[in-house]
Amino acid sequence: MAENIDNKKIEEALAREIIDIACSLDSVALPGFGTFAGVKENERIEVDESTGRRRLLPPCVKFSFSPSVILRKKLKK
Amino acid sequence: MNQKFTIHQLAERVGNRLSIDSAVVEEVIKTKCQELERSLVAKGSSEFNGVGVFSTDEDGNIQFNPDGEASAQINAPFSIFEPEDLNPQVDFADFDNATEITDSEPTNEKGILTDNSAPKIEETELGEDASTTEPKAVEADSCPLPETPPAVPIVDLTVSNEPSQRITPPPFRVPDRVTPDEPQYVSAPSVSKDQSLTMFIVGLIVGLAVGAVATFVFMSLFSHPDAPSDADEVEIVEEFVV
Repeated sequence: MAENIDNKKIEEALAREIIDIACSLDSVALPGFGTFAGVKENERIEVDESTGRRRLLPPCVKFSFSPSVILRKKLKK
Repeated sequence: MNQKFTIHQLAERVGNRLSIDSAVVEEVIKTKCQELERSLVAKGSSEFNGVGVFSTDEDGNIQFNPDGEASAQINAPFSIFEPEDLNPQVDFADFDNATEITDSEPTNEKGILTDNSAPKIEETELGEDASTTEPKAVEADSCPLPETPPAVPIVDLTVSNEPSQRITPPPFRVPDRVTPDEPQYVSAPSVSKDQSLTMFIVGLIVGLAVGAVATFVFMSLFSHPDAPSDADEVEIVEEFVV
C-alpha cells in the first residue's frame, strides 16, 4: 500500500517535471516510448477558403509528443 | 531552452523534488512507460495523469491530446493573445506564409479549433513531401497552429549608382516654455542722487528740530521752582546718614 502511494506521488512529480521542462521549451526523451517537448510556433495568417475570412493567429507554445521508433513499430504490427 | 534531458536527468530532478533516490524514480518511470505502452497496444488508448491522453488512429499513428491544465500552463506566456480578424481590403501579397483552411472548422470563443481530430489546414508552401517525414503525434486541443517558418522580409541589398539624397533633419528648435502665472512686482519710482541727498538733509534738520522742541517741553514740564537744588539734596542725605 505504501509503495503504491509512493509510486503515485512519484508519477505526479514526474508529470510536473515533464511540464516544467516543456515550459522551458526543452525536451525529455523516455527510451522506448517517446519524447515530450515544448514547441514554440510563430504568429501567422490563416485564410478560410469558404468565407474568405482572414485571421491573424498569435504565437503559442505547443506541448508535443513524438513517439519513438520502437513504439511505432509495435503499433504497426 | 532547446535542452534535451535524458531519463537519468529527469529521474534526478524528480528525486530532488521528492528527496528520494533517483534510481527508484527511474524504475518507476520505466514501469510507467511500459504500462502506457501496453495499454496503448491493447486498448488503443492510454492516459498519463497530468500530461495527456495517447491514442491510435486507424493507420496506427499515435495521437497525443495534452491535458488541459498542462497545455494552458505551457502556453501561459502567450495566453493573453487572441486571434484577430484582418481587414479584407488589406493586401498581404508580400506575406508568403499564409495558410488556408479547407473547411470551416468549429471554433470556440477564443478561435481555437474544438474538433478533436487533427486540424485540416492546407499550407500554401509545403517544404517537403509529407510521405518522407516521420509521423508525429498531433495534439488538437492545446494549440491548432501548424508549424510554419517565420516570415523573413526580403531586403534588396543591391547598390545603385545614383547619388543618394541626403536627408537633412529639420533644425532643432527649443520649444517655448510655458511658465505659470508669476506675481508682478511694482518697482518704486526712480529718484536721482541729488534729490535723495536733499531729502536726507531736510529730514535730518526736521528731526533735530523736533528733538529740540521735545527736550524743551520736557524740561519745562518736569522742572519745579520749589524743587531742592543738588546741594540741598546732598545735605538731606547727610542728615539721614548721620
